[in-house]
Formats: sequence, C-alpha cells, structure tokens
Amino acid sequence: MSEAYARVDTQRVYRTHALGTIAELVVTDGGALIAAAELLRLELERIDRVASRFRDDSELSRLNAGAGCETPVSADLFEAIEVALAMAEATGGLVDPTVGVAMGRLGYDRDFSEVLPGVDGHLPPAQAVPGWRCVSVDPGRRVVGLPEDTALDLGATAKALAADRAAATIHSRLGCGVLVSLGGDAAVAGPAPAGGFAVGIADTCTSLTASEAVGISSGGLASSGIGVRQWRLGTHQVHHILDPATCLPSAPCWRTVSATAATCVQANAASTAAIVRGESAVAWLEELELPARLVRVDGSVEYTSGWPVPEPQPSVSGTVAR
Amino acid sequence: MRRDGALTRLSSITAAIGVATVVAVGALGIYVGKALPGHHAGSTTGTSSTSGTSAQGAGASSSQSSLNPPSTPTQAAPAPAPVTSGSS
Repeated sequence: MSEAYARVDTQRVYRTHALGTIAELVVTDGGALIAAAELLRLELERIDRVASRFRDDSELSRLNAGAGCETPVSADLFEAIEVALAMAEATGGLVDPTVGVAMGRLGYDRDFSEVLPGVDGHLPPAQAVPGWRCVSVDPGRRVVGLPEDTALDLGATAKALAADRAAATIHSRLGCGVLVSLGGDAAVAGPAPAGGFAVGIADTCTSLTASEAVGISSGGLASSGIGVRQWRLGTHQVHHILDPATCLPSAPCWRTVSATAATCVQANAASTAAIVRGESAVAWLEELELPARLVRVDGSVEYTSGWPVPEPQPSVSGTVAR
Repeated sequence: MRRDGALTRLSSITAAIGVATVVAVGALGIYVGKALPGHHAGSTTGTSSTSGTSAQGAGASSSQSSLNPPSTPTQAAPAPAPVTSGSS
C-alpha cells in the first residue's frame, strides 16, 4: 500500500492507494483525520494480508493451496469467508466466491496491472462453478474446507467488508461520523453531515467529472461494472464479473450498477448480482427495495425506487434532456 | 363435592397440558431455527453465521444472508462530491 497520503479538498478528506485501487476517507471532525487514516491503514493492511488472491503469503492463498482438506484459519479470514457465503446465499448464488479457478483460467491470477496489457490463452468452455454450498465452515474449530480443484476469490466482498469494518472501527474509536470508500465501495458510520456524505456517481471511481451525486447517512453504497477491469484473453475481450453458471464473463447488459443498502457488503453484492442478472435486475432490486442506478452498455440510465433521480437539465435549445 | 374436586383436577390437567404445549412448540421452534440456513449447528456446509467472529459494528450485520435497504433515505446531493463511486 502506498504511504503517500494526499490531502484533498479540505482537511477532512484523505486519499491514498491501496488494494490496487483508491482508498478515500471523509470524517466529520477534522481533528480526527490523522488518527482515522491510521486506523484505515491498519484495516487495509489486514484485509490484504488475509484475503488477497495475488499474494503468495496471504492466508487465502494458503487456504486455496490446501484445497481438498480442512484448513484452520484466522478469525479475520473466517469472517471474510462467512460474509462471502452469506452474500452468495443472499444473491441466489450469483455472487459466488468459488470463482477463483475460473478467474485464473481467464488469466486474472495476478495483480490487474499485469493482466491489463492482455494475456495469451483461449476462452474456456462454459461450466458451472463448484458452488458456494461446497465450502464447509466450522466456527467451533474455525476451519474451512474446500473441495479439490476449488479456489476462493473474495474480491467481490472482502473490499466492501474492509470498508464496513474500517468505518465502524473509526466511529467507535474516535466518535466522529465517517465515510470510507475503497475503490468506490463506500461505508458510513456515525453521525453524518446534513444531507448525508456526498458521493459522486460515475462509470469509474477515479472519474473527476461525476455529473450525479447522492448523499448517504447510513449503510453503504457500491458500484460494480464491466468497464474498468477488462482485458484481452487471446482474441477475446473479457471482464472480471463472472456468471457462476458458466464461469465466463457475464453477458453485457449493464455497464455500471450502483446501489445503496444496509451495509457496504450488501450494496456490493446487490450491484454485482445485478450485473450478472442482466435485464431482470431492475425488478429484482425493486423487490428488495434497494435504491439503485443502472447504466446500460449504450449509456442510458434506469433508476429503482428510492434513488434520487436528478432533475432534467435544460438544454441549450430550450428542451430538456437527461 | 366430589364433582367439584374432579373439575378442579381436570382444570389443573388442562393447564398443565397447555404449558407443556407452549414449551414444546418453543423448543421445536429453536431446533428448527438452528437447522435453517444462516445458523450453525456444529460443523455445517455452505452456510453462514451471524455468530462467533470478531466482526465490529457493520461487519457483524454483513454476515446476514439477506440484502436490506439502508435505514436512512438515499438523498440527492450536489455534484461534484469529494468521493466518487464507480467501477474500480
């Protein structure tokens, strides 16, 4: 993780690089910022050490290497796996942590910066993932069992869990309101400013031109999309959100989905599952009463109930356009 | 007098049956609840738990097997904002 913290905007906002993306921190008490940044750093180091798929020395890598037998794990990794399994169940298996081997077959078995230029290979034939139900967990002995030829990828939930945990820890230790955003997956804890913590909504979390913003005062907000982590596999262009039914990149329907929920983990699971669900995602999110913004691959935008739809802006010709 | 005594005994037996029924239903409910997904009953496979780990605050509720809306409304906010959510 980069130690080069930068001060952005006001004294209450800090930004740094971690987990292969951007980590941002907003606190309601400027005097707590440095201490909050240190707590965030510790949480980021912890989740990277425990759940990184790209570090040979991570606990997750050791667990995956031991597939075929039961492995004792730390409380931190056990929690991360429990959360991943809970979200798999909550999404009907659409956000499944047993995509690890499939992700490797697509070439995404190392830091994304090394994958981005493209990798040699062929698109593998469609086949279902082993499935989250094949993962055995025993909280009494704190052991996890994976079948042979199965590897966990906690990328869909571990980052959001880190955001939830960091926000809760910072609020409980320092007493201030806080927003923690890891690659655009944001968690809130404690008292929020009037109108909530403002978060811009864009295709990428590094965008400086977000035309929409929402305010969140509790829980989490997350965005998932197929536009950033794309790479070339042989002659095919692939992305990182896999359909567990095929182990192949999900069919392009939505480019980006943003959702708010009771926690950042849940928001992330909802937005990722929506990408996989495709056309039926809107009705599914409505049924769950989750506020969401969905951007189709052609750029048109749809909203579910509870998401503040921006006012149409007057165009130069005097008509309105959205 | 004998009839009154019999009625009293019958009333006591009925009350005892009622109490036993309530206790049995409660015990059955706890047993079934532990057997459903989302709970551990010793070693389990492919289920998740809300207990036993070091989750703090929001992390604890993250292990629930459900997706719930935020407890406060998602509001409109002026752009630009200091933080952006998008694909990463």
